[in-house]
Amino acid sequence: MRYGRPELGDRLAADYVLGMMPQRARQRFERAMADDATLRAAVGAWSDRLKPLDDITVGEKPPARVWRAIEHRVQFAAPAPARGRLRPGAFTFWRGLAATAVAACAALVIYIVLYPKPLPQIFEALADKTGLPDWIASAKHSPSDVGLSTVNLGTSERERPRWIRAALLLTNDARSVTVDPPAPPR
Amino acid sequence: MPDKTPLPDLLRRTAAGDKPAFASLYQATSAKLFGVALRICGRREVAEEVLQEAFVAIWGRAKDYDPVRGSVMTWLVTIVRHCAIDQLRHQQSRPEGHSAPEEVLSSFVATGRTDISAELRALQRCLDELDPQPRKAVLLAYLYGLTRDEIAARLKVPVGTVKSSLWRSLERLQRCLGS
Repeated sequence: MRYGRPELGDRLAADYVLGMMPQRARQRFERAMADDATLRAAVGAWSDRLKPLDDITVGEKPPARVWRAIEHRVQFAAPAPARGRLRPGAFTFWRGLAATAVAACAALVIYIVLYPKPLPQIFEALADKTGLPDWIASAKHSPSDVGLSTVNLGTSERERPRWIRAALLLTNDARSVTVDPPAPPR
Repeated sequence: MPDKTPLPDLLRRTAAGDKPAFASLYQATSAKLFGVALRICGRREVAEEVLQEAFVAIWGRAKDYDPVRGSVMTWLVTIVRHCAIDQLRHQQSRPEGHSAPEEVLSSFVATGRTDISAELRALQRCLDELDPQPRKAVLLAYLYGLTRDEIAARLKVPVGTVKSSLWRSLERLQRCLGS
């Protein structure tokens, strides 16, 4: 899908803002937007045109349990399993992650079972697409492993080669790798 | 005590992993966003789940926000709307009994409220210039997240008609709003 012609980009931006795109198309479009300021501007323009309609909706304070659930989900301590959208298998995971990262409401913790694993690409994708400093990769070497070894995925470009090597060592022969969000700031 | 910090600052700090800033962002925006989720989802428990999913996504994607895309609130609403639409499509069930959107809009404007923004008035004027069916299609899409198929079924017209008429309507709105 080429977004080169301005009118096409504008139409797609309108579709995006209206919510007409199926989920996968939307995710592709969001990826394209990340690299294309013109697309972002087009989306901004359509959003600005239509957003006054949201003024007519009365706000309503959500129940406290919603915030508790959100807090729980973004805590390091109690990761939730991934939703069904991401299926096991390294290449499916790779495609799914590159496409969605943490977009589209996927749970932040991704549980995967790896086979031959293009791991450097996976971790590069994690860092690039989601900007994940301080995420922790934990490996299980057998299904019953509860003692996880962990690698902090690092914070800077400079550190990245080092943590990719560490992550590779860690996840060599791992049956599964879980990637968790950072611990809450102290 | 509500945090008066501007939303862009809260979002920026959220992107840096600042949990209290994220909590303040939630406190400042969740009522409106919950309203949007309720509007689209119809069912309360679904809307609650959507709000939860949306904020988990906001936590993860905060650094993706680009001011050129509009205000922070606009960006948040977009995320919530997309979560709500995904949820509805996933469930393959559509809440029944959405109020006719043009009535919702016109009754809101007609109440003589003084807080109706200039933007909303302008949009409503431009929407009024559309024919009734195309106008309804735009509102059904934006307010309720209906797909083209669903709009076609509701308006009893072919899907192709909805597709082309939606784009024509949006182009007309674009010209009318003059940007």
